[in-house]
Amino acid sequence: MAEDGDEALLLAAGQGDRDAFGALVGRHLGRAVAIAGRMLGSRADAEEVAQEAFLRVWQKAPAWQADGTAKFSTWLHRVLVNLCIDRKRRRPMVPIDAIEEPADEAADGFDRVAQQERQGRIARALAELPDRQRAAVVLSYYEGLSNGAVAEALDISVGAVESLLVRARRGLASALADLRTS
Amino acid sequence: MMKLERFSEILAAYGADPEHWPATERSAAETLLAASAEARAALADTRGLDRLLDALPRPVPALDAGVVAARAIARSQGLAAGRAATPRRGWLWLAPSLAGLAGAAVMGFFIGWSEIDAAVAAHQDTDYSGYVASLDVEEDLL
Repeated sequence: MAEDGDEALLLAAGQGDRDAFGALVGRHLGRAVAIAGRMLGSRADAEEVAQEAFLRVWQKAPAWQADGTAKFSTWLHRVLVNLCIDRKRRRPMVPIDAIEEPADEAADGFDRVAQQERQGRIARALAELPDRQRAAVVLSYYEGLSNGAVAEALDISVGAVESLLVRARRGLASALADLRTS
Repeated sequence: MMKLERFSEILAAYGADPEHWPATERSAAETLLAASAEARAALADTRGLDRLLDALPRPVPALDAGVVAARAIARSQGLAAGRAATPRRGWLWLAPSLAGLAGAAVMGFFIGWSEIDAAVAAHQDTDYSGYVASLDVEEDLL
């Protein structure tokens, strides 16, 4: 099973193979939570969204067309982005805790607080971007997806992806200008 | 060779890390970078924002993939059971409304018919002597 591609695992899952579904979740859970976490600014919300996305994967699996035209990861990224945008519209407040940060054992208390404040500012700047700009930055910059993959996930042209990224980075640079000089 | 203008656009969109640049333009951009001090200055400036963005930690799932998969399957089964428990009625969901409507129609028809009978009966008992008298008046006017 380790050599199976996503689509093979999805087809097996569609026939009720729970191990194949578990393997598929295992492959994509980390990225799913990373995408949703940066889209929403909260790991708890991100896990709920990821859970919802994988529920849809399981439900969709029996009807998946194995014709090679659709790529599972593209479909999953699109579902994740849409779920995050829906969730954010229903609850637009940015969580104060942003994303939980792994403790930096080397930093003393003062430095740790300063670091957390800095990360909170960055998370809020990201959260305040328009939805599609934020999604483009998360998928392209943070997750390293190609322009083509981002374009498919957001259902836009490759040129539009670059335009979204330029505007997003300009907005982030403006919001974080004081941190860049400090 | 790539122009500085396009190189600046790439930096503005993708940041300073060549790994993030479009694969089809990466080689040309790196060639320009090696040859142009302006390109290197632009790259250094872009790194400032990248460093900030990179300070945001990548969220890591606390849940195990097996748990997420098991929950998805359980929820799907729960939703399916919920749908099965709700009988598929097709058009039958309209039956109570239709029965009520039919009953009301019968009652309305019955009441209406009874009132017509009563009106006809009353009409038949009407004294037309006044009307006949008025006709007489009109005839007198002629």
